Amino acid sequence: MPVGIFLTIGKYVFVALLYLFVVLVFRALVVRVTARRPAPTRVRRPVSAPITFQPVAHRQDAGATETAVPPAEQAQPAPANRVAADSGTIGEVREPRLREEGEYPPMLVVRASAEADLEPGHTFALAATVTIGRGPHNTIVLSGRYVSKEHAVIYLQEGQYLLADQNSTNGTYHNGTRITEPVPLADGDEITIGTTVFAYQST
Amino acid sequence: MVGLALVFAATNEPIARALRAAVVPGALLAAALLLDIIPGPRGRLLLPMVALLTTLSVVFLSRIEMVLATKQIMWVLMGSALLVATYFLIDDVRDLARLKYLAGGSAVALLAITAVWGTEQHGARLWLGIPGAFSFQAGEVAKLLMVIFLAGYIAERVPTSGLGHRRPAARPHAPLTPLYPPACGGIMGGCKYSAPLLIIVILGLALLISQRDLGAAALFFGLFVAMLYLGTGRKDYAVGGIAVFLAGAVAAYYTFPHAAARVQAWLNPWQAPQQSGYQPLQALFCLAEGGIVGTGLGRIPIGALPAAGTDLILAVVGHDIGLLGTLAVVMMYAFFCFRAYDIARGATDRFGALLAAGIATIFALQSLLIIGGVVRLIPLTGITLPFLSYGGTSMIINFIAVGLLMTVVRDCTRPESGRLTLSPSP
Repeated sequence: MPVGIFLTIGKYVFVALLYLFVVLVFRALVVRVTARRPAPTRVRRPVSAPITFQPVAHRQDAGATETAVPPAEQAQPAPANRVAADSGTIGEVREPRLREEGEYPPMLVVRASAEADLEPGHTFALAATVTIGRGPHNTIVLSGRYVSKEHAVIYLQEGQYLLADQNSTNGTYHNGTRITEPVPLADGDEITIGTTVFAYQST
Repeated sequence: MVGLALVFAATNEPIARALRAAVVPGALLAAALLLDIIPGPRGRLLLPMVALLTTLSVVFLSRIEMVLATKQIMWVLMGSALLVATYFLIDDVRDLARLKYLAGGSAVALLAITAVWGTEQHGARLWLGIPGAFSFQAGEVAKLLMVIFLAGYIAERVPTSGLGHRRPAARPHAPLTPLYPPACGGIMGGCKYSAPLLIIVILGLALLISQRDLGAAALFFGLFVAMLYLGTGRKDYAVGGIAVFLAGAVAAYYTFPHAAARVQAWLNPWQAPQQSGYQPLQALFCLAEGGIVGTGLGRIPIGALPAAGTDLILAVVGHDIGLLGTLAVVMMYAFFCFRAYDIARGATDRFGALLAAGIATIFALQSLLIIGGVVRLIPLTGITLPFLSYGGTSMIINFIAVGLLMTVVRDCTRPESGRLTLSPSP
């Protein structure tokens, strides 16, 4: 009976299609699991190193071209730094290009944080404008629940870094006082956002 | 392929119905596949898997009864709309943590109201609403609220080194301590932090057991233990939870006659083949008739299978597409749960991680309880198979849960780039 044959074929086709889908999903899952993202590239300073500067070029002109550090370059300084910290010689970390310029950017150093991946000693070299907040578009992304999506901004004005709150819900604290308007940053100032405390180092 | 389908449609009425019914969910499946190719923080693979399961659901329901399939399509559409709404209306999924007490309280309140004013079906009061006009299964809603409560509570109050938390709780820096109360010994330390958690969980369980909803009670308890374990990383909680569960199961067997009847029907269905053993036996007959490759979609009418569209839908799948097809479906559930746990593992926020893990646990436990029940691995309990069984409330809640998973991906997962890196000013 021809209809019966068709139906039998159809039955197998149905199951085969189902398995095709299952196999595709399985393959996608395997790809996801085996190709884990590499560790996030972030500029970090080993906690043991007393004063190690991140060899990241800092330009006063906010020209996006030069301050942009490709991920590969960011990742490289970290091991070099560690070696330097062990041997105790700091100067050797500097790349030739930077040594000629001899200019290092001010930094934010994490003093304390409840963030899962921010340990004390993490360092962020400051570009001309650094935004801090929970949104993924910020320069420094904090995930704490007391952090607003666009929380604060640190920007350069006439050679001076200023800290400004961006109407955050829980406020930005400068040396323990909540700020309402931009405040100039001086070496050693403490900035508190959510549960994270940064120290500003002007180098 | 289309030609083949047309031949079936012309020759076989059930297949024609299935094809007609599959148009809407099939379109959703295509949309989900398309959407999955476009990059974005939506949690890859989730939507296609959900769409495939709902398509299968509509196909098999149309084969049981066309009315069910049509209604199910409506629920699927409503669920999809709510999924989209969940994704876009929730500004940040972490804000849900603030609503934890509201969620936990309303979960218990829903169960309590149902226990008092609910409408009774099959000897259990599970439905709430205006009879005839609008009603929903309170337990389904309560379980999602419970996940939100547990995730919020454990993330904020329970000290730990578990999921979504990668550093020791005790730290020299004082400003953070409110989040991590001093560790105290013993189970939950007997400290005041555990009181609201235990009160809500115990109340919920008591209400479910008093309503004879044993499947849901097992689900709630499993969820509680799993989330506590995932949130704290303490194996003694898991072991203790399993011990309590076993003790509770034995106690239920001797205390509640309906629980004992379920176990009897499981161990020895032939004792009362026309009463308590009827459902498990019919399910087994269906699976047996399907054999390895099944009898074909809708070719041979299923016998007198009760609850074919809801609890025992897997038996219909086994009947029509056999062991091979059933295994494919079971694998889909395994992959789906794996993916959901994967999202939990990738979340950087403790609440987000626990929320995703709780949702994954619900899907996993529900699938295990009902699939195991149908194949007589464990006693049969009345629980829906997520996305496959007929049921408005369960469908909608499952879709919302998937929406929440997607918001966890969006709000709590580190983007591929751009986080904690130095970038030029925009």
